[in-house]
Amino acid sequence: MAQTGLEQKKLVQDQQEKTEQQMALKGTLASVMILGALIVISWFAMFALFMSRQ
Amino acid sequence: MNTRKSVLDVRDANLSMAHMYAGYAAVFIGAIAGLLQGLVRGGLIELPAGIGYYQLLTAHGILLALVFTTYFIIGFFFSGMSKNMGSLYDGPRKAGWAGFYIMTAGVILTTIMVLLNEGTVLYTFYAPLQASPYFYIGLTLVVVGSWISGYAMFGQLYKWKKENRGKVSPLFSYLAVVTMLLWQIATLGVAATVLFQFIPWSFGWVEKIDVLLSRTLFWYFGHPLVYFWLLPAYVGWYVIIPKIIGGKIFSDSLARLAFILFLIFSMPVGFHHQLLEPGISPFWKYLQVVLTFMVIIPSLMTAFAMFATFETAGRMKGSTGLFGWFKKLPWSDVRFFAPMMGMLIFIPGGIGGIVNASHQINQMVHNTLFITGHFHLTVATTVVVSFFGFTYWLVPVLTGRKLTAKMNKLGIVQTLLWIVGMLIMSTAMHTVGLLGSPRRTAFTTYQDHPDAVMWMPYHVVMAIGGVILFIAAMLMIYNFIYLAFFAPRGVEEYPMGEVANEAEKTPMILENWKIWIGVSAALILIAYTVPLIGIIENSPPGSPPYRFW
Amino acid sequence: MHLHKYERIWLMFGGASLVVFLAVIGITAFFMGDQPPSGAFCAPVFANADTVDPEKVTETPPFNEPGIKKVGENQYVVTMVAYSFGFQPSNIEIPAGAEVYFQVTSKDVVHGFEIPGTNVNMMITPGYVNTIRYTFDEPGNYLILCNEYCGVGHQFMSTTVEVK
Repeated sequence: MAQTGLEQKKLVQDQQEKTEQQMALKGTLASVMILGALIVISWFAMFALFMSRQ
Repeated sequence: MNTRKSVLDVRDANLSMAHMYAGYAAVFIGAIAGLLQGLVRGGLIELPAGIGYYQLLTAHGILLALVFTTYFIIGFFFSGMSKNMGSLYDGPRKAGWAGFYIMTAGVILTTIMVLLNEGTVLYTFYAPLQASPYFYIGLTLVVVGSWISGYAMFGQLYKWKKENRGKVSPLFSYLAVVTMLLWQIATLGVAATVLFQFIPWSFGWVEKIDVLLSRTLFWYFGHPLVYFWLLPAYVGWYVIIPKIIGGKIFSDSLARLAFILFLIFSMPVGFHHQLLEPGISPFWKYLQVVLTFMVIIPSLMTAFAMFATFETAGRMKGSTGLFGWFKKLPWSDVRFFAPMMGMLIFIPGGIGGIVNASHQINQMVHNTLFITGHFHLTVATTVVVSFFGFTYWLVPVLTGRKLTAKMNKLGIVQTLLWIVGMLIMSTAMHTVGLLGSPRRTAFTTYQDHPDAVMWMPYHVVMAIGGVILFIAAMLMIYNFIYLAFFAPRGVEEYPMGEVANEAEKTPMILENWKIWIGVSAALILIAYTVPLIGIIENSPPGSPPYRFW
Repeated sequence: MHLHKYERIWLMFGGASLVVFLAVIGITAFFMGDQPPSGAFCAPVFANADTVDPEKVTETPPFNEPGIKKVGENQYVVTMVAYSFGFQPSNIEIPAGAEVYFQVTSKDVVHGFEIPGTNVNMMITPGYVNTIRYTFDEPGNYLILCNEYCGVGHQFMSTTVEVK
């Protein structure tokens, strides 16, 4: 019983890995990273403006 | 009426549609007020005697930010829950109507008070400016009505769960219920200040009001309020958009988790609206700034989920390369185009929000037009354009009509006009705000002070953007009326998305409301108990009422 | 609950950015003194208390005598009362390079206190004293304005600082 449970678990894991490979999300990663860069750049620009006015 | 076919129970469709009528009536009046304000501030017109700039500003804020949004949200949620569960149960539907009538009574009362110039205190109604008691009672009725509609939705889900034991609640309904739960917890603050401070004080039963306490209770409500606006747009993005673009919902559980994070973290953050105020120590302000930053995380999750939905759908249609999926999106479908524009605008909108909440950096932007520019991106574009986008299919669904190809085109034009107008207005607002021009201020050059004279061209640009926005709003009203009364009869699809990965079960802990309400309450107590005790213990004598308008 | 590998990367990047932002503002606020105005905390030469009876402002020191006081080598305290629709004292003069502490309260409704183009920006809540420090390095005419709606004449509520 325990073994089949384990096997099942492994099966689910395999399936998950498979779907992960199928879901090619490179474009998503690139997009969010561009978004992240925008956030970081804008925030530091505003911080710099604040410090220049202190 | 017999010829009317609908994908929804007609009784539920009528309930939802009543909210749409009321909501768009508010858009009509609110947009007129907005146009006039923009023209006054730009120095282009002067108001005829008898109408005040600040009176218009009060009407604009209340009708668009509070009234339109609340009606749309509740109407949208009832429609989706009915679709999810086949139909609303009789009890919840009746409660929904009760909520609608109470809200409408409140809106009418408050609007009359504003028109009579008895409530020119802006929609934040800061004490010790004092409006007529009926202004506050009207607002109370709006909130009470929305509570009853919220209970209707809780009851609907509760009864459905009882009849469907062991089943996970449908995603749309779950997200709707989290949003209404957030609203219940948030409105406790404004209810407390209005019922125990403003109403007794405005009737003259008590002479004075504790100003800082009222502001703190207001802002305890004021920030989750913006999430109450935003989350229904997210509901559409998570659940409706995947269907429209021919894809699947990226992850059911992650959508639910994001909403739970909003429920927990959107509450204990109100001090970031009070960062420059005396009476609250910097330590507690900073603590709430940290909590404010936590509430950014679920939006980061949402950004990922949206891109992933788009990319997966694009790849299913055969796109290749890093960004090939971008071209596969149905750009010419207003049901997608409008909410997508909303999402893109949330990028600068969200970034501005992070800046505003950054503790001392707030000094650079607080109460300047930068803030006005910010929330015209977030609420007045991201949220509102998403709602408009939902309207294009929801109203035909509710009235048993079709979204025609011509109306689809007109919808795209309307969306583009809104976006262009808003980019013009909001960019000018952000820029002139950084130069120091204050928000909520009628036309003035401060005795021709050189700093203020420099702002004038920006104010004119704002007015131009405002005119374009007004045209877009009136076109939306036209489109709404067409879809409600004149579009050809037919069956319009209710685009309710399906989940991509059936293999992964939704963890039941997400449905354990006691845990999440408990965590939310704990965080509120941590963030507010000590400073609130301080505010009450160290409070100076209260303030008598003033009426400076 | 399963997170896609890329989503983990994204959330880690996003989370780390937020931590960096918080660290930057936290350190500059708590260790370098750039705190947002929060009452009487900032002034080294401050009067009596954080609070004042809003109806007795004109009788309560130091607000019974609004004005400019020299407290050190090119260091000043400006005691100010905000009211609908003005500031008292108005049109003040200060030498260039002066370090100025503004301590302000309101004798009626909530007001704002902002000098455009600078970081001087704070709320004036009746019953409370708020303070802010600023060094006027550049000579010129600075505008002080109210940036919180305070009534029908709100747009007229302003004064100036002449820095010579």
